[in-house]
Amino acid sequence: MKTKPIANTHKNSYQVVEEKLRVTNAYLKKIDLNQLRENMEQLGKK
Amino acid sequence: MEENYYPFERPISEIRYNFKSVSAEREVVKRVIFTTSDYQDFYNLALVDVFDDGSVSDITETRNKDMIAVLATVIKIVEEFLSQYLKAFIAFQGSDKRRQRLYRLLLGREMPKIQNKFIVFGGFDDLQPESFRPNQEYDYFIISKIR
Repeated sequence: MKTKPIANTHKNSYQVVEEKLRVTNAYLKKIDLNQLRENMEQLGKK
Repeated sequence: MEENYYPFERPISEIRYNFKSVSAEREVVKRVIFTTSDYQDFYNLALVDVFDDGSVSDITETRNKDMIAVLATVIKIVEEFLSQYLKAFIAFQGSDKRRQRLYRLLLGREMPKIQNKFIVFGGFDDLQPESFRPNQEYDYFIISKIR
């Protein structure tokens, strides 16, 4: 059985990725990435 | 070269892994896409359904009753990706509140099995991410490999 597109839910790969990337970049922009790297590395050593 | 030039963005690279979700009724191609973000070593993860016409969707419901197998496959793919990109941090979020909650519940359930391989943080809008706590709601998640 072939999978059929449902109206208005389908986009091309570029659109989906762009949208998700925009959200992720917006979150990452607001935080201290160096601190995050350090915190995650420290936790990994425990 | 002294000519004026336009500013340009970082290049966007994409790494894709495809797999099939199989049930008695149908097969659906699933794709996990890792995309470079604006920040070095930070990648975005997207899980989408791929349709016969090449379009994709991150909001359709596959209804193949194999969510556990699909997410187990995604975890295996994350493991494979992080074994190739040792310094990578993977950020992801559900495409809606229901999926975000589902990811949180599944991460909480899987933590005993994955915490010896991965470090998982939960992030908030405007606040510094924290070590993942199963009962805490987050806006997004970040995973890296224990180094």
